[in-house]
Amino acid sequence: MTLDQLALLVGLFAVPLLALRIGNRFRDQTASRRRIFWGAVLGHSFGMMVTVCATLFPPIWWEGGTVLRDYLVYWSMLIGSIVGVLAARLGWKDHGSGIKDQGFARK
Amino acid sequence: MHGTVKNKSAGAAARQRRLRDLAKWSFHLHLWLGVLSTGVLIVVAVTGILLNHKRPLGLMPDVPNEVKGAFENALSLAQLAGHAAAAVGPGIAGAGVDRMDVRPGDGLIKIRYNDRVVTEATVDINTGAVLHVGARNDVFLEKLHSGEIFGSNWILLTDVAAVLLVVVLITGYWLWLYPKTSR
Repeated sequence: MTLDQLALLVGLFAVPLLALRIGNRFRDQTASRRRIFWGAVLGHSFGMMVTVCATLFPPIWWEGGTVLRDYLVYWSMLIGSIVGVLAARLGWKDHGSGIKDQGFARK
Repeated sequence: MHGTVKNKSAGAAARQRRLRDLAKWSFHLHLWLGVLSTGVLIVVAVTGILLNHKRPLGLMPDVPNEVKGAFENALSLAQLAGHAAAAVGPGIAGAGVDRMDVRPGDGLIKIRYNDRVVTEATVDINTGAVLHVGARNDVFLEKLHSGEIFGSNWILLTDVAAVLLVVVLITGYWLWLYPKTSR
């Protein structure tokens, strides 16, 4: 198994499972963890769309084609979710002043 | 008498508990397996739709041809392969012939090559005239649909996704039916 295929498998299965785990008891999570969850979900969803489009257009085997298409097919979901998480974290730091990172525990 | 009523109510409570546990397991299976299989199922669904409409979408060439002579008078396979190779060029012909699909009823042969694009040449079996040269995009889509594009073992991935889809359907049905059983 190549590194590309490993990245595809991680993006396809491990990332959604991790996001699902993070999203467990969502209402009890802190606001920053919620943002990370949404960053991962949105980044992964966008990455999945890119992967599907890059895989099917044009409908020919991508090996031996452009290097960009190779990367888009294999790495989009993993990179998309990482970028989503990083964007959520950076976004949270930007809003840091005056907003408390308080949980929403059930009473 | 009193003992019988007590046993009946204990049995009903146990049955309710079993159904509730089943619904709980169904919920978690539905959630986790649904999320796990989403990516693969999207690809299988999209490629399936494209394969269903491969001719109108131009993913598979449809070459009309009139029969020009009797099948007994057709050129030999080697001659037809030679005509096709001359048409596609040495770069594609060098990849080797994957298969030759003879259609006596249409008076043509489809010669498919092992190149990356899966080029196919359609040749008249009586005259040797090259009718069409183009890519067979549906071959790529079929391999992607089955998972075979990544290697022969990867078809197991789509098998697993199909089984997960069935489990998600069954658990979804149970999640719909369970509230009705407890009324």
